[in-house]
Amino acid sequence: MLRFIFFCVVSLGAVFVSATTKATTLKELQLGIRTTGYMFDPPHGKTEIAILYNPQQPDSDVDARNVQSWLWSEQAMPNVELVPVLVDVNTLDSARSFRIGIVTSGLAPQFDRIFSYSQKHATLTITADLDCVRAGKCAVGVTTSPRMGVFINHTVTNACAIDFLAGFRMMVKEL
Amino acid sequence: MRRHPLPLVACTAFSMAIGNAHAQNLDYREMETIFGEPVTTSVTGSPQRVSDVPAAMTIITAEQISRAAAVDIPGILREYTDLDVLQFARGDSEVSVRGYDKAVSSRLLVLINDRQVYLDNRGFTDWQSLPVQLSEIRQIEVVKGPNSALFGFNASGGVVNIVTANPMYDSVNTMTVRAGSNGYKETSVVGTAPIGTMGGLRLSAGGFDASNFPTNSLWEGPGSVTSIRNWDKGIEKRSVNLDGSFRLQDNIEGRVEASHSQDTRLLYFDDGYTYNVHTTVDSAKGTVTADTRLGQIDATIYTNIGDMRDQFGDDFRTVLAVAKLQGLFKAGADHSFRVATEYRHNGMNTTPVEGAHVAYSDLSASGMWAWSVAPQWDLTNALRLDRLELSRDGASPLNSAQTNGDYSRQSRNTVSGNSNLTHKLTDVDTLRLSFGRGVEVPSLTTYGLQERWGVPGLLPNGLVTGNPELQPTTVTNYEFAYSRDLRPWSAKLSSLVFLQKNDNLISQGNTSFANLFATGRPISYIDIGSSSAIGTEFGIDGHTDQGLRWAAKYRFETISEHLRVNNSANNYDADYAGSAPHHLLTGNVGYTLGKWDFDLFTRASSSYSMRPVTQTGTYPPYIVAGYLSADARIGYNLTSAISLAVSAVNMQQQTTRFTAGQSVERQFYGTVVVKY
Repeated sequence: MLRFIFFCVVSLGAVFVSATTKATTLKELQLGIRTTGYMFDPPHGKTEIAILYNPQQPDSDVDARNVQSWLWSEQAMPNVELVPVLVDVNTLDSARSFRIGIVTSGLAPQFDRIFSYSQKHATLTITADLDCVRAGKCAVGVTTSPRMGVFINHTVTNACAIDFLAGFRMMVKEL
Repeated sequence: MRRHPLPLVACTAFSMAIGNAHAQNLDYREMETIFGEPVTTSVTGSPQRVSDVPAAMTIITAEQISRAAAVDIPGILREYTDLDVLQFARGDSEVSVRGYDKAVSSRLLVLINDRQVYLDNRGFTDWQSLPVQLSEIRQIEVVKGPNSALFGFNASGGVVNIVTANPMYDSVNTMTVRAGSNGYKETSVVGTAPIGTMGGLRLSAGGFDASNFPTNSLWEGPGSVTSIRNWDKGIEKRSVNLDGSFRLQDNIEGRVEASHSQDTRLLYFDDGYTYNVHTTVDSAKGTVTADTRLGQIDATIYTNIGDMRDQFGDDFRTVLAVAKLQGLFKAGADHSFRVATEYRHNGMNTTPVEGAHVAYSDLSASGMWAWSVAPQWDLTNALRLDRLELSRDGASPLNSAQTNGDYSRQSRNTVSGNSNLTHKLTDVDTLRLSFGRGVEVPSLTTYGLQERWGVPGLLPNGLVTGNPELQPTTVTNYEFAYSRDLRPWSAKLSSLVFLQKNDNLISQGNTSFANLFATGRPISYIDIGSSSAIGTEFGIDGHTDQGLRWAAKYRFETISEHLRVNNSANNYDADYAGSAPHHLLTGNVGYTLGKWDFDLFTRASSSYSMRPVTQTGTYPPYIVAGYLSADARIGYNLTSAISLAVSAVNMQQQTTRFTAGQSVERQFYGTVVVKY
């Protein structure tokens, strides 16, 4: 009986974990934004930054609003003013161009659409959802646990015509 | 379980400044912030996180330097690493990797921002003359094992690269006043000025005066030299350094550095005699870094002009000029490359018999290939080819065995390399297998010394000369390492075993000073044989969020030698086997409590031996007893801008003997640091 209960608990836990998505943390956002400084042609001055989210997906919606709030809360850098703009991934086909896009959590069904958009507009996509990078749909993945890590999908950056400085590329993990 | 973002209140701490919108030179501060750990270029030439480097490496951070009890770089290395650090007198320390330490230690290449500060005249580093203030050091990078494939000659045992703050990115403005026992008085000022948004300038200056340790006795034993002849009671240092970094274009940065330093101190030479030495070193360096879509290109030129003279008339005037071009490229996701070429010219007057000039020029080509073979496997290979051509012009002293033609006919082709295979067993476990081959070129003195010995009416004249036919010493090193991150405790465990082979060990032959005194026949430098070392190293370090920090390192090593010298008592180098302690244990623990910092550093060593000179010119073994030493520091941050500290070095007893030189006194220091 005890073994059965244990099995049920573990199974439920596994289902619960796999069903959830990973929200972007403040540190991950900071880390992701910093990577833009190592683009071959980094942003200057006032730069709009897209927050790609799905308003029908609660995790994504909450994540997007937190990211937006953080980005509004301070000037991002001395010579660059980042202006966050929420962009519904369901309307990406008609969305205008952004140089940088933050991909929020819970957008796995829209990965293809995000990649097509970034390819079309040469948008650097940054996300804490490493599945998007591994799937070859997002350019940059960031994580802070168990240690700080930056992952760049070389195929995606090539497809989107995005270059990073050679020295920086040697310090990150390229997929 | 869903992970919630940090509360909105965290926004007040939100600081994601990119710092520089377009970085070319490595911005250590920014990179450290991004990756949460120090970064370095001192292992492969390409920038890497310290946890990713394929080498046994320690980085001493600026924060650790500020908490050290020691007030000089050799002392800081002694507190934070398991390097061999021998202190012969105040201001006279020698540092080596995995044994082989001695007076005028030649196996460790020391650099400041990749500029060699190792002195080629005698083949050693005059630590006291380094033109750097502790407060402007960004980090001290220590690489153990040969690294000649990146840095060239003399990185045969290891490398210490002192990286200073970059004035484009780091604003360091400090004033330090320090006083200590034995008349120690030090002042240091560092100031940084931004130049618009295009760069910055940093000027640093400092110096100290102190008395030598009160006792002038050297080693004790039959026939010992019991006093230092003609010694000066005081030591002093003065240095100034200018460092400017500029953005020339969006993709191009430039950096210029210039320095002057001078110091007076005792120097215990490898021949067993202690000299009163005055050294001046001037340097100038320029670097241009350009980022292109192909990769990063660096062009560097620098020169060092050194003059070291002693009370007996030796005057070593050395000029080193180096030009280097390097490219860093990444091909695809898995391959990184570094290609470089370097030219250096190194010359010195003969001394004390003047009239000739000995020099060598060296042209090299080197490359590195880092291949991410698979997600858990990395392979790094580096190779360097050098062609060295020796020359001498001017007069030859009477009885000299060599002519200028003997030098001009000499050239050397050398190969150095590194190969490392790294396997990440798990997220926390890493295995590394390494091979390294380093080259140590004979010093200019060893190639071209012209020294006449003799005391009228007492000793006949004799000549000590360099030897142009010497081959470089080679060091071959094999390592197998395992490390494990102990994440729940914010700690890391590291271990390795190493096997090292040294060939063409160079020293004066078995007709050494005793023979010179007896016969007056010229003596010179020869290849005296080879040696092997085997050892193991363990280390563990960690910290807690509550302010506790701790580390412990242990090294076991045993060296065997295969020498061709007939009578080891006639040679001061003929004891490699005894030169390294079998057991070396270091540890440090620190705690920050509010405004207070408490740090304790300990080092325990088993006995080892040296070869001091006797009054008759022989070199019998002298055993330095095992010891336990302890340093401590208590710091108090009065305000965010003012900190006070008291520290004690070798506080366990009044005097401690580390060498056959002077006994080292217990020292106390009081320090005030003002940040402005």
